[in-house]
Amino acid sequence: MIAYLKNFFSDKTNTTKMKKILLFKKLNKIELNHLSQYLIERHFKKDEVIYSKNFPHVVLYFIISGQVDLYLEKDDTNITFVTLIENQHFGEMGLFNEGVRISSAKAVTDCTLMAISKYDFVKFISKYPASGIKLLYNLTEDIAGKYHSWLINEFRQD
Amino acid sequence: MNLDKINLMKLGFILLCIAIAGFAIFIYKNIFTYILLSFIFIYFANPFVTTFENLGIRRIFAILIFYLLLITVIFFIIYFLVPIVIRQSSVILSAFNDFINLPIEELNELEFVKSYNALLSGIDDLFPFIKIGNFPQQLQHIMSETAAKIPNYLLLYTKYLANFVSFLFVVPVISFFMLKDLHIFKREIFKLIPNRYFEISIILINRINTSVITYLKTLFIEVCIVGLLTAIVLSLLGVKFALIIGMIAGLFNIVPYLGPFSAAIFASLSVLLTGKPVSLAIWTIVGMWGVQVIDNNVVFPLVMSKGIEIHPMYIFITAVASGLTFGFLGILLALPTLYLITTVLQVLYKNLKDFSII
Repeated sequence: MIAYLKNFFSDKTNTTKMKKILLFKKLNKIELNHLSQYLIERHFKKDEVIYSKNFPHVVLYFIISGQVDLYLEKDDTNITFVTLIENQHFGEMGLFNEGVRISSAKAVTDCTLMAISKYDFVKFISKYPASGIKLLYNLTEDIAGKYHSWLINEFRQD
Repeated sequence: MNLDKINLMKLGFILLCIAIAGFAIFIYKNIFTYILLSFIFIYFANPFVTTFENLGIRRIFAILIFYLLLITVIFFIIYFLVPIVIRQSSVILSAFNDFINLPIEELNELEFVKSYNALLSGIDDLFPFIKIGNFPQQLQHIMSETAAKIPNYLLLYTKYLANFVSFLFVVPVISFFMLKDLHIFKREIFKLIPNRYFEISIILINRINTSVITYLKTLFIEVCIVGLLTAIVLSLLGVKFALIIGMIAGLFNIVPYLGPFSAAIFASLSVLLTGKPVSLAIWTIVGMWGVQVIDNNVVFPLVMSKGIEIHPMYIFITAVASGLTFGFLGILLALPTLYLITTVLQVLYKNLKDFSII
């Protein structure tokens, strides 16, 4: 009974947090509630490594609070190439290919993340195809946006 | 000082956790088997429930539909198959019983004993230096010795039978709640895992899950197909108790090499002892061998895309060792356990290396 009540309330809170995440912008409350069943909340302390380069990648993370650095290691120094903030996501490549992480991720501040594994992502899409299409569309839009910015940067350098 | 205090608190917390775990084991020890069986039941049920769920049915209704289908199948088995099985087993048992109590002079009148004696005199004429014992008498002796042990076995298993009835009610109820809130249990377990092991645990649980499901699915399909094919082939050959032999062949097929071999011996012996000609016993063996060929070359490669290779010697040693320790059930369950442990270790080793933990 207590577990049921706890679940009832925690789901509601998760949906409220999830609503702000950019990738979920097209999902309605019911769809978010369905998706929340697959998300696992993780808490990281400041400077804690979330994942390291060359580890197998299977998890996509959403930042609920705090900041995360994505960095590459070169000659024993970490070169940060992006700092992500609340409501952004990282690790999406793990959903689509079988390889390993190409960069490492570290918590810049104490942070709360939500994680979804690629196995659960596929399960969610199979079970709720309409919501799955919206989610995949958002994800594609985001990747296309990143690619576009990268192209612009490349041309600027030329 | 502060550090000591923290360490002391940590130690105290760990000790408290151990004490609670110990107390929980003490409280739950009697229903541990029920929980374990519920897990196995969930492995069997969850793929069906998920399939119904993917059709747009709510999980709770998907579980209820699965239970309803299961009850229907069990009812069908009890109503149609059990009477046939009882009838056929009584034929075999009475044939075995008659054979055990047969006087020597009547023993020699049996069809297969006559053929055996004819063969023996032929060998004797050709190779007089070879001494062969009286096989039918030896067989009678072994069978009467085994039959004498059966009441003890039955007494031993009566205790389990009483437990079985309570299993029949308790396991589906526990499984129902576990199935319903499976994602909540999963999420709560993941919350307990430290950050460093979070990603690896996701991969491990998924791969072990996939391997176990694939293996159990393969085992289940193989048992059904081998049982069904054996029953069909033996019926076509004219063996009267084809269904019961089919069921035994299917069940024995769990044990590679030894299982099919034992099932073939049992089948041919049953044919001979019910007074059927030797040729039918030989055709029974040929038929069952044919089923094995189909199983090994068609069924197994189709249902299991990538099998686990275990050397026949290990299989043999494990079957004998667990047979000696746990009896007949030990032989049946040892090989699936060996396969599952091998799979888990393989997956564990590969992933611990990938994540630089070992």
